[in-house]
Amino acid sequence: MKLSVKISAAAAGLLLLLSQLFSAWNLWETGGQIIENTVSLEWEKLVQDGKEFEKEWTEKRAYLKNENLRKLWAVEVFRSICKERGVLYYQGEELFNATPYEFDVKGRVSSFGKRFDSVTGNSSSTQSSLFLERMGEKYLLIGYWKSSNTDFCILRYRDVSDIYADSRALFLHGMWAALALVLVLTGSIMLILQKILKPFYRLRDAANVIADGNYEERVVCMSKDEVGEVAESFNRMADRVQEHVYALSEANEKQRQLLGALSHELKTPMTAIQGYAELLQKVELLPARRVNALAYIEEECKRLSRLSVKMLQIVELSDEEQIEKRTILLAELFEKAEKMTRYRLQAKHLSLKTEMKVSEIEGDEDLLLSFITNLIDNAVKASREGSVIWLTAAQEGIFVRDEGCGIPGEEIRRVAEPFYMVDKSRSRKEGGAGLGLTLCSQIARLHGGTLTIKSTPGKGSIIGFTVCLHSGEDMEMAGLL
Amino acid sequence: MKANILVIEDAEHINELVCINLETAGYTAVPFYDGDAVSTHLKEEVHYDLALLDVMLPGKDGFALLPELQAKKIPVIFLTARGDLPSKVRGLKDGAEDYLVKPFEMLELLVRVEKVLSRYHKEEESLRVLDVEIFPKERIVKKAGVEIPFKPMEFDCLMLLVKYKNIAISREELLRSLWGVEFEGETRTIDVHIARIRKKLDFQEVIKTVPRIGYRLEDKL
Repeated sequence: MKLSVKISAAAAGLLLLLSQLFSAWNLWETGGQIIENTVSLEWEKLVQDGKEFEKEWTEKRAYLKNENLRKLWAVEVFRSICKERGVLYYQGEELFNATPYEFDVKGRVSSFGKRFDSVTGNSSSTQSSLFLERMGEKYLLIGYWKSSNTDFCILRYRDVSDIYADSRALFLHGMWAALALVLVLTGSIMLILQKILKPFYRLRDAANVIADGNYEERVVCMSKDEVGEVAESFNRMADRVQEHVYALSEANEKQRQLLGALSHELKTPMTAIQGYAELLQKVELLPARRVNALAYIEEECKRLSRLSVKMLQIVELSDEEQIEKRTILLAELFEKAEKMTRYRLQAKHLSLKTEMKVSEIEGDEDLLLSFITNLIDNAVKASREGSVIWLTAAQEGIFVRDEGCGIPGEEIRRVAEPFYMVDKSRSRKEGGAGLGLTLCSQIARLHGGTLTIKSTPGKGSIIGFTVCLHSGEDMEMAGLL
Repeated sequence: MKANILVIEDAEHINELVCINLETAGYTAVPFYDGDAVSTHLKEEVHYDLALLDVMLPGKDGFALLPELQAKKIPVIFLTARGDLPSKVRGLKDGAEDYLVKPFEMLELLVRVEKVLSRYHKEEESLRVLDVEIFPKERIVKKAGVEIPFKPMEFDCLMLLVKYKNIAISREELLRSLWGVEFEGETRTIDVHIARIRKKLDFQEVIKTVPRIGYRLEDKL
């Protein structure tokens, strides 16, 4: 059930209950008042008529010696006063009954109890009483008045069915009115609530839109009440969700691309390994070709293992956010790097020259070593035989410079992408996997710097990482080149 | 007549591998390592029966080379690491005859090459191995001019070995080619057939048993 319907129903129900209770009480009171008025009016009249009867009868009584005549006279007087609506009793016996009913009132106590004591006065002395009798469909108000001076008693009734019917009709009327009121109230409360709840509906719709994948959806709510606050919180939540979703999908997309590149990169060595292995198994090759095939298989296997090592490093590093930094002596670091690359340098008759403007650096030694050796590897691949590679450490960071073939301008932005190789076939020939600079840029990132690449095709490149937020020009890299 | 096949693939090892495969099966393979070189080469008066074309090449890529090859009426089989559907569809729509995704098996490569070649040339009248001549259309085998009766299955088996001579064909491959993909037969059945062929043609030395692999019909080029 909707909230608006619930609230309306609850409010209407409560109102109905209260109004019914109130009107019932009110109508009851009104009905009682009417009856009370009728009763006291009737009583007054009865007493008045009784007194008149007493007076008239007493006046003539002296002239009438005969008991029977007296009785007749009494009946006569009674009839003239009370008309058709009374019963006359004499010494407890019914003397005359002009009514169509038979009454039996002897010894009966007033059925109104103490309620009409005020009306009847201290009627206990005269033993007068008032009754309400129900005769079939009719209600009769019966007044019984006892003359204090004579032996006569007068009973008079009045049909009060109409009054009762009226009061019931009034009661029903009141009920209908209350019901109508409740209906009107329910309707209006529902309308009002719907208006109040409208922003919630808007929130619901917006939430549904977002749930369906449209993360740009927001709610517009101008009101300053709780609903407005909820809408504001909702929008804030939507902002955050959108951010997260975009970040996730971006990361996902990156991962997907990386995976695609990786599987593509795996296919070439796999094809070679599988193909040559099959060839060796199935074809009687010449001895020279067989040796070649085996060498190819070994070479491709090595490439695969290098690839997996680098991929693993990249994956590990991309998970990391913080590294333990220690103070490293640059002289030691450079010496280690030189040792590690010596073989490759010698193979191409290259010389490595180091230059240190600072003596130490903050960072992770293993990562920095990997950074430097990767850059030197790249420089070796790019350099012509017999040229020089410079390894420089300055306040701004660590740089490796070569005099090799350089990187074409439009490629510089892309060289740090995984598996991106400027010259694919040459890189493969040199055993590259296309991951070196990706690794370097991650290491630079972990050290709070960025990978900086400057290159002039044909003249050489300078690659390194800047620690501070200096722009390339500040580093005087152009001067270094 | 040996078919001339262009092998355009930048990874040297793979290029060499494909060339060795093709040469072993009796084709002439001409290796090329980048797109621009092929483009220049095609401007000369050359004739090729088929080109195996890598998509990602230095210089002009495979898709760019395809029209140039088609202009020379050279059927093309794409040979690529890109196994995604869009690339395949594009390659085939542009008019490539077939699409081979790396890594591929030797027999797969040769079967596809043969299918494409047979679509463009009439099948040879007869195949010859030593003194044995086979007529595929008539399904007749003649040894030194004398016809030797062959059962259908034996004939198919011999055809397969002759077509891919010098390459070992595994028992499973033979089973699959002769009895269909889902055949769950004993590989011994193959041995029985091979034994019969050997006996009928006196091929004990020509059809070699390759340990753990299968059989190879050797006919030194």
